[in-house]
Amino acid sequence: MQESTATSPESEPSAFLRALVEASLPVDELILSESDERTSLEQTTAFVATQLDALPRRLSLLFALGTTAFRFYVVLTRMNHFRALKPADRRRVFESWAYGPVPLFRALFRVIRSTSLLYFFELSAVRQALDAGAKAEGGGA
Amino acid sequence: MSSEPRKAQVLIVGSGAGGAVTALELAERGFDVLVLEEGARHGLDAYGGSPTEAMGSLYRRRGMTPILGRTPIGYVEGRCMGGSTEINSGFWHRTPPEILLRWKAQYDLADSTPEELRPHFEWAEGHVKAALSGTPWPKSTEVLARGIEAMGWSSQEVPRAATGCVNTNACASGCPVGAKQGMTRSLIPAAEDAGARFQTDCRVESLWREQGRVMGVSASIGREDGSREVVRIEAEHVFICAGPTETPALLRRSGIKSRIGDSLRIHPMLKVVARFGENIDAEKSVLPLLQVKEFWPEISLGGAFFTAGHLAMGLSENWPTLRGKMKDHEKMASYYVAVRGTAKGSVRPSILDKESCTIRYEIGEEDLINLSKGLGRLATLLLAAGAKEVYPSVYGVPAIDNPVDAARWLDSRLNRSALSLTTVHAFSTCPIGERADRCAADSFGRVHQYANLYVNDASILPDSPGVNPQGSIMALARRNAIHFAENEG
Repeated sequence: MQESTATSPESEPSAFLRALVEASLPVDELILSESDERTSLEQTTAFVATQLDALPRRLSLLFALGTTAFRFYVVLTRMNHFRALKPADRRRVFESWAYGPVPLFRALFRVIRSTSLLYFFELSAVRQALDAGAKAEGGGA
Repeated sequence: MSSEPRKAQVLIVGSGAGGAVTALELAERGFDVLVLEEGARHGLDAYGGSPTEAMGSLYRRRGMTPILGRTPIGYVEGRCMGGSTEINSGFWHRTPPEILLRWKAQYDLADSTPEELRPHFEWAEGHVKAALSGTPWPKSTEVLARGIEAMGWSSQEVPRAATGCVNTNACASGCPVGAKQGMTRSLIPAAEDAGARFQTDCRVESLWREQGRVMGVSASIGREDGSREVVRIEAEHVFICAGPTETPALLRRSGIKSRIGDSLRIHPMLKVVARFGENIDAEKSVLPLLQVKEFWPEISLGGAFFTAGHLAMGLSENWPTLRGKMKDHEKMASYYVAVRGTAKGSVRPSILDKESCTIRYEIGEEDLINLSKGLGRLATLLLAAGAKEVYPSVYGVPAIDNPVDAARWLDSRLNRSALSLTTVHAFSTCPIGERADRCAADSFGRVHQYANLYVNDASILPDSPGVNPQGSIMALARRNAIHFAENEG
């Protein structure tokens, strides 16, 4: 399988989207160099942004509406913006929606978590870190 | 094509399984054929990249065309020369006789017995070299076979349009070695040799009609400088072969609506990941080649495309619980439950975006029950094959690790809102047959009330075939093209 090349969304991904993508990925569970981690996150965010650009207009609008509601929820409950939260808090609040009991919230974030995980685990640095971690644990082959 | 075409005797919109067959048959019979393809033409050097690269170059809307409903369903189709035949697995089936009888009974589809379709299947099978693999099965198939044997269920190795497959595991990204006989490797070169012209990067916006005839199309053609030109192309006869979503969307955008886009059928598919105690290396081989037929036509079980990225997606419904399993990716493989799909969905052109359509489908109660039973059976089979755990793409059902838990799904119903479903099989949005109250077109694809307008792609299947549809599409498309040639030539 060839390595993915960077993608080009129509506009620069927002800091909010970067924070969402980071919260959806297991970066802290893999041993990645700082540079690989940064590059992996940037490339994954660019891919997710490109995929969001490709959504039919109606779904784009619904997604924007849903994420706006999410941002308000975070401000009201955490008294801070999502992207300003600590990474562990971001992960917690993201997962409370993306993997929580409300089907609508799960559906809202399915596009983020699915596309980010798909791309992230195609990256060679991530694959190497995954296999290295498995060997260290005596897990994977 | 060096200059922009403006006229054709036969204009074909789309170059997939239906369009390519139509182009070849009519060009060989002396018709002046022009095919308009919305996507680009790619060589083998552009194939075999990562799945995410391929999504950008080969898939409609980069693979972001969900089917809406209470249970959203991920759906992908090709948007390139050759259409979805460039990105499918190449599995080949003839339409089962029982399905043909149903089509006769429900839609009064003429000239469609197994005997009448046999020469068309044989012709198509010769062109795409449909055959069994002929090489040792990959491990992901071997373990499936082990489970099938343990259960004593009937199954079959499915022939593929991929003679000479060398296990690149790149079916979904375009076969980089040219083993898979997508239309760009098989029928399109033959059609060009016979004189058919192909125009890529050409999106047909609408049909141009006058008094029960289609006079031509309005299309947007890409120029070399990146700009687009809107042109009118005249035609004596027009075949719409743009696929199960774009064909009805184009017809409806053009004001042709009777029985169009009202009867979408799909094969809803629930994927599971199985973790074995041994290395499977599913990422290094073609997808599993066996399909369980014991519960057909309502339920089919088989194997799915596998990469680490797809594995992560497969686990993502229960990611907080399962993310630690990623380290065992070499011991895992993906399988599926597909059901025939008893509900009817719809396709409508979007009012917000002229390049997209809204696809709706509500999973029926019977489908939910069949998906649940299918999950129970597939999990039982995989555990019997030696799987340590089975992870369904169902929220709140992270792992099944014993046959009793698996068997619970035989009598329980999955929660609709917990499902993550996908499909790559859509059809029947312009069903053909003699029942004018149910069909958009006659038995040979001529759209009712139009003397020279035809549909000839997955849209025409009267109902779900219950098997991978490429064979059915190609056989019916050839039958229809010959019928047209004999009556109009």
